[in-house]
Amino acid sequence: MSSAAEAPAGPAAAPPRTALRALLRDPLGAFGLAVVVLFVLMALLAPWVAPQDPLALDVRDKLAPPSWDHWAGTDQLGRDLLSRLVWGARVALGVALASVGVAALLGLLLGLLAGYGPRWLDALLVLVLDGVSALPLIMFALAVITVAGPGIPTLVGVIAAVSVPGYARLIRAQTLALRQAPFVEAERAMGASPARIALVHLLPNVVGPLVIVASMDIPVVVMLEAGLSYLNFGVRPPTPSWGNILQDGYASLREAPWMVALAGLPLVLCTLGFTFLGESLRDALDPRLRGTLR
Amino acid sequence: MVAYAARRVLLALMILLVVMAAMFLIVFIVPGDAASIALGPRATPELKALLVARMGLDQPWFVQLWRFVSGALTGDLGLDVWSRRPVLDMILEVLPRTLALGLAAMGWAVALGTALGVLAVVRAGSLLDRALGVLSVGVIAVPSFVVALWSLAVFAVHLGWFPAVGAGEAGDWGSQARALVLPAFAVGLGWVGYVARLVRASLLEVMGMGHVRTARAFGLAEPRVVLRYGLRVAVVPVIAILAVGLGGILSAAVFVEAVFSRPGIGTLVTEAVQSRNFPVVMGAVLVMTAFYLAVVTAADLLIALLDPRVRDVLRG
Amino acid sequence: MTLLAVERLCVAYPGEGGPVHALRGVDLRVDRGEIVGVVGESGCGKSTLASALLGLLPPGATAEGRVVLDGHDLLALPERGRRRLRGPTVSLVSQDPMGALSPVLTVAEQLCDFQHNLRLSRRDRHDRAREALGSVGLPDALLARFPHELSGGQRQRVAIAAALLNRPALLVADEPTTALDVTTEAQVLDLLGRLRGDAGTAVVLVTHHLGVVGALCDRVVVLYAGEIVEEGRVEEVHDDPRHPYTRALLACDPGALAARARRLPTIPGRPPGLAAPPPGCSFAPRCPRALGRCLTPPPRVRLSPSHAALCHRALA
Repeated sequence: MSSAAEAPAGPAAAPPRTALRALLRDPLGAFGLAVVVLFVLMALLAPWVAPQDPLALDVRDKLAPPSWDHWAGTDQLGRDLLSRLVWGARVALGVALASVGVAALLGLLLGLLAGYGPRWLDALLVLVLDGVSALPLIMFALAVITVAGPGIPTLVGVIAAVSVPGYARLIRAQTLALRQAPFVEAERAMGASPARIALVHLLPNVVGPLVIVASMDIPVVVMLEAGLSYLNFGVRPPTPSWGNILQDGYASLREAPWMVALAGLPLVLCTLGFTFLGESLRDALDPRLRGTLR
Repeated sequence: MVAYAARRVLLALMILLVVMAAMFLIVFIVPGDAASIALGPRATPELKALLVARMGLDQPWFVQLWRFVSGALTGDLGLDVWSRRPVLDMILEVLPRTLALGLAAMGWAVALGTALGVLAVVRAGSLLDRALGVLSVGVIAVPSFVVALWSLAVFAVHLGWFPAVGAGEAGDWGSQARALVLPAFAVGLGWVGYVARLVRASLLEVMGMGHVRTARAFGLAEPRVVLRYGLRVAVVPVIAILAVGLGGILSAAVFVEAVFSRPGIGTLVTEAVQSRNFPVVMGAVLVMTAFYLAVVTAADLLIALLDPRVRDVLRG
Repeated sequence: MTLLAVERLCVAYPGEGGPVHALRGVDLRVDRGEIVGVVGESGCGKSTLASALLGLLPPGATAEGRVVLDGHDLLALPERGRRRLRGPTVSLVSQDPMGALSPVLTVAEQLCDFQHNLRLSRRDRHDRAREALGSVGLPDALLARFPHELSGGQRQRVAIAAALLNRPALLVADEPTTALDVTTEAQVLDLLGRLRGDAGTAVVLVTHHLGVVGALCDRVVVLYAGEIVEEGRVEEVHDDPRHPYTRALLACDPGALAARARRLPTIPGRPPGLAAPPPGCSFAPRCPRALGRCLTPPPRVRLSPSHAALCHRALA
């Protein structure tokens, strides 16, 4: 899964500091940044921020509407909904970072190999990558889950696996473009080994767009995790995930309609925030990418 | 044109084969074998042996692969582990529902999105244009299944305007249409913004081109200029990107079908996943991949049809 | 008989640091059947003038003065009125033959479209399109082709055919031969010349190439930094240029160089930025004959009934 196709090669256009300033001037970008910071803090500080224990049952008080004791009410097992939502942020961001991180690393490696390695390897990799990305991602994910079983490790693995082709293709395009660059030729002439050229010289130059694209994938991954958890294929209860909380809400829709409304909010806000931030960041850092990415 | 078409189809087939291989590989790479998985905790040695023989898992891997591929190419996708029904039949039974959902969603999203995109260009810089800029990003970002849940809660459960479950009565077009509204809305919503942005960007670029100036220079009315000299050229890259994005529609459809308990490929697969019914999942993946490849290939051919320059480039 | 009268035309575009004054008080007269050349460097306002003659200034541009075409003041007319004039009264042939025609429509389709203002039946339009192609020396077969299948010269002739279709009273040719090779250029110029004879069409030929002007035009107007610095009959201006810029242009014309010239003369410096036009003579900074008084606006000196120059030293 990915938002990347081909992107222009070369170093990014603007240095980080001016980029940050440009970002803050864009109201959507500033909003996105604020939201992202909020959620990151929530995720990191969950044990302290959450008012109550997300796993504490109180069956007598189940499906209670929002009140002073429980700001968001309770779920069908009497657990405090707000605390579960706060911990859900931890799960969402944790899974997102892990899977995007793994995918980016693998994509970087494969892309460098394809772009700078022997042509047969490139042809093979492109065929495989095209094949995998021809798969409707959700189907692929579900197929793997069928065999491997639900759970967080599978989830991370699956999401990473579907993201790799996009990143690999991006890195490959960048690498291919840089391959002919004079400084690479110079290094080659001086006898540097391919591995050295790839790691020391190519890598820093291709990493930039990758970071931008990867960060724009985070909201997509968060949504995917939530969706899979909703279907009970991802994070299993009692561990709180926005997805499985939404599932609980669905099951109790008639008795406690506020659950669905409240549980959906952090998910929507989080994805909106990351998306606005990502778009702003991309525009600020390298507007050339604007037309090529999703 | 014919040579181009032939090459595209061949490429699609090759990719399909790769996908089949990948599917197959999953079973071998991921820990656990299909039989124990399917049986789950009920896996006694005897039952397992029985299932293994039934599923042909005791054959060497290349035999299994050969049987699978040859079967797939002839339309035999294996049998459901439990009910022994042909997987292909099961899939074909529910495929029309998902297709209806996908088409309805894309239909309204593309129509509205295109209109909004054109409007944004024609009224550039206006409030509408800027509002569209914000909204379209926002709307893309909202997960379709949350939209589905919320619209279910509001319009189906609370207001009762639309059914909350199912796809309507067989043969009753009215109830089927009503059951399609909320799901199509949820699946399509993410696309409206996306299409609007694509159309706007592409059209904006085209409207700055020389041939638009020429058309105006000969006194053609502005609507004609925008549509015949602007949009017709601008639409080509949009189609290319839309076709690729079709996978996203499917993804959304799976979740939305689950939310509305609507029969379709999505629910078929999710149930199969729950019962660890790998043949069904694998079959569904293949069918959907083949379908997706068909759409992408068709889009490529459509583009070649619409833009004569593409045809000529590829003739060589 | 005056066909076109441009009076004190000023056009400004919005710019980063303030408005950019592309045209600063241009006066121009074109009689029926006359061929007038408008000469100048890039950025002097030639294309803006060409656009203004069609009433096709980009949105955001501000215009003052009058552009009276066949009795209608283009700047005062609403867009609908201007649109009706485009084609039958005034037509445009622009610089970039590839960009000027839509890539997705055939030559026939576009030629028929461009007869929009004539209100004829489809068959009539098609016939006229065929005739027009014939009159520029192109075979009927090209009607079914797409622009990218034609050579540059053919495309430019199609563009001229399109302009001719409407039998306009005035043809505005914006650098029609810049992108063409010498042979094709000669053919196109020949065509333009025949126009005057066959249909009595007046032509405003905008170009930076003096040789073209010499070959084709009756009168020439020299544009610099948004102003007309010299105007007159072609022989007058060629034999007795009175403005230093005109002299410099003529000296730089490769066609006029002595066979043994060892270095190509250039005019040092650059035209002034039009966001802040200089107070006096706009050519003064680069002028080899500038004096103190050139910092004040120069007078328009009449040298003969048809010849005038905007220079303090026109007579000296």
